[in-house]
Formats: sequence, C-alpha cells, structure tokens
Amino acid sequence: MNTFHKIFALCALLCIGIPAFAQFEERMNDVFYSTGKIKVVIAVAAVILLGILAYVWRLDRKVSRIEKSLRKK
Amino acid sequence: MHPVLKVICASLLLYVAVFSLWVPMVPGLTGTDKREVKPGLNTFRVYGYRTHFSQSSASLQAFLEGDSVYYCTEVQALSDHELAVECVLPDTLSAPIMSVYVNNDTDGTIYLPLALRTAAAAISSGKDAGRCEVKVKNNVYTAFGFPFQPVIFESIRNLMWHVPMWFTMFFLMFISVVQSVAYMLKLQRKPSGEALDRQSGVTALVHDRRAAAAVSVGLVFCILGLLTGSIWARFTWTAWWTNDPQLNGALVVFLLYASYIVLRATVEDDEKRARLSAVYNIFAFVMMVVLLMVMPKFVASLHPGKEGTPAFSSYDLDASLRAVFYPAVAAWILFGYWLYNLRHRISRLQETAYEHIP
Repeated sequence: MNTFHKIFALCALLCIGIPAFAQFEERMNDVFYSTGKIKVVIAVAAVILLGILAYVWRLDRKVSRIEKSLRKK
Repeated sequence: MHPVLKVICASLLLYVAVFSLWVPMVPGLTGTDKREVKPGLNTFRVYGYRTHFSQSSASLQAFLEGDSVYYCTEVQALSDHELAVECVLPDTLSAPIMSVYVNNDTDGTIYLPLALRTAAAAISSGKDAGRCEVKVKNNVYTAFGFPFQPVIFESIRNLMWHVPMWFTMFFLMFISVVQSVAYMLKLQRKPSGEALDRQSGVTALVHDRRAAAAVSVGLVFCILGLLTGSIWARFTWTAWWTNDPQLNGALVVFLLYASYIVLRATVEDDEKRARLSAVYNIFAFVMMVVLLMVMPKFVASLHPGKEGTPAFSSYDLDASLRAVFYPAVAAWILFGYWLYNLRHRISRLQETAYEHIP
C-alpha cells in the first residue's frame, strides 16, 4: 500500500464518518458547550497528540522494515 | 539536530501543555435568559463565568448600554454566577441593540456585547426621552488570566494548539522549497553542454530527499491544523466547515502538497522524479503563500488573522496569551524540525538498505 492509497483511504474514511458525526451532534452539543467549552480544547489537544503518535508509529514501521532488509543481507 | 535543541523543544512543549490549560480565564459574562428588552420594567437574568457575584454583592452594579447608558435599579446576586436584574427603560429607545455591563470590586467591569435586542415598536430615531447619565465605573480585573471573549470562552486556549500547527507547516514547507531550489542550483552548476556526471547527480539527490521529507512531515501538521480547526469551528461557528477563503485555501494547500507526494510516487527514475518534484514544489510553495497569506486579506472572512502578519496581530493577543503562544510556536517548530530530521535520515537509510544507490 503506497502513500497515495493511504491518503485516498483516509479521505474515504473521513467521508464515511460525516453522517455518523451528524447523528451525535445533539448529544455532543450538551457535552462540549458545557463548562465554558474547555472540552473543545481537550478534544483539539487529543487530536494533535494522536496525530503525532500515528506519525511516529509510521516512522517506527519504516525503521523496522529497514532493519529487516539489512538482516537479510 | 543538536541535543540542546531537543531538550529545549521538550521543555517548551511541556511548558505549553501545562500552562495553556492551567492559566485561569478572567471573569466574563456568558449570556442572558432573555433576548429582548422593551420600554418600562424589564427583569432578566445575567449569567457569569468565573465571576464572584455573591462574594462581592455589596459593590454590584449593572448597566444597559445602547445609545446611552441605563442604570439597573435592582441587581441581586442569586449565586456567584447568576444575577437577577431589574431595569426601567424610557418609552422610546433609539438603539436597536444593547450591551450589558456588570461591575463589582472583585471582577471589575465585565461586558456582554450586543446581548439584548430592543423590541421593534420601541425604536425611535429621535433622542431618548429619559436619559440616565450614570457614569459606568470601569474597574480593571488585575489578576493574571486569559482574556474572556464572547462565544469563544475557554476555547481561546486552542490558540496555543491549533495555530502553531500552521506555523510549523509553513516552516517545513519553507525548508522543503529551499532544498528544492538547492537541488536545481546543483544541477545548474555543471559545466555547460556536458551531461551531469553520475556521481554529482546522485549527491544532488540529497536535497531531493530532504525536500520530500520536509513535505511529508509538513503534511502531518497540515492535517492536524485542518482537523483541529474544524473542531474549533464546530463549537464557535457551529459548523465543521464554512466556505471561508482561509479555510478553503488551507484545504487547497493540503491537496497541493498531497499531490506532490502522489507525483513522486508516479515517477520511477530517481533523477527525473527529483527534477519534476523540485519544480512542482516551488510552484506549490508560491501557491501556499498566495492562498494562506495574500488572498484571505482581500476577502471577508470569519477567520481571524487578517491584519498584518496572520495570527500574530490577531485576537486580543495580550501578555497572558503571548506568554504561552510564542513558546508554543517555537516548541512546535522545533518539534517539526526534529521529525523532519528523523524522516530524512530514515529515507537515507531506506536507500542504502534497499540498494538504490549504485
């Protein structure tokens, strides 16, 4: 699976997610608008942390693959 | 990357993570229970956030402000965060919309702009009849805290999370375009007429590798910026996405650089790929500057950051915000550089491991 496939899959997943989000909007409003919207900040910080972790995970896999091919030599 | 830079990056990130959440908000008003005022007696509730209405009820005052200021005759604190207000307004009101001021010794003067509509029948273009010339005390809240802004509330803290993503992306794309230009210059420096010899052609590929690494890390920050921006927009503008020049520009920038990655994947030959993607990269960078920094300034937009340098001069960047925001930008740029460093070292290793280098 090359990078293009991954990006395409990500876009497709995001599109699938949109109607599912819409159903939960009502409930989400109650949660996120309470206590002065501090939960919006938590959500944003969590997204950033998860995004960075996902990228580090990818780098890790690349390194493992390099190690594997070096071991074969 | 020098170890000292890594230590600085880590400690700045820690500082930002802690203080962006720890620093309290200054007191503010979140809303009223009614949306409209009329001539005569009005009773309504005012809601506060981190306020001390009961604690300093002795010094409580409330005002309505339209074209002139109306003193509220009865102000009663129901709790620290709720006020019951009675206000007698004259028969004719010239302002179509009024703001609410609440004043006490602890919280200072706090303000809810454009909170109450004037009932349509009461608006007259003439002067207000019973003017009430009470001077509004303007006490300043002195304790340290992030400014309280209507609608945004606590989510002003996102300034330290969402905005540095874009700064980091810009920084990485800048590194990338510099590497692409360096690659083109290396190619040009060959003796005229002669074909570039094999060895220097391969060494020039270092710049191509670095350019690609910077874009792939920059794209991560671009995606994070888009996602966090979308979440923030949902709870301030009530929509995940608005047709805003700044937002659409950011999306186009994402697509531009995503197609850079796609372009690289389609070319087999190393040097052809390097040359093609270097040209494309320079084009993409120019487009990014136009889309994110130039174009939004000429179109009306909800997104802040239209005056001067984006983000730096926007918001009410007071001292409390700046004390965390500037370190946040530095921390994320350093972190982005660190990831870029790892990424291009990995692609160098990939080339030796998979034997692309002859």
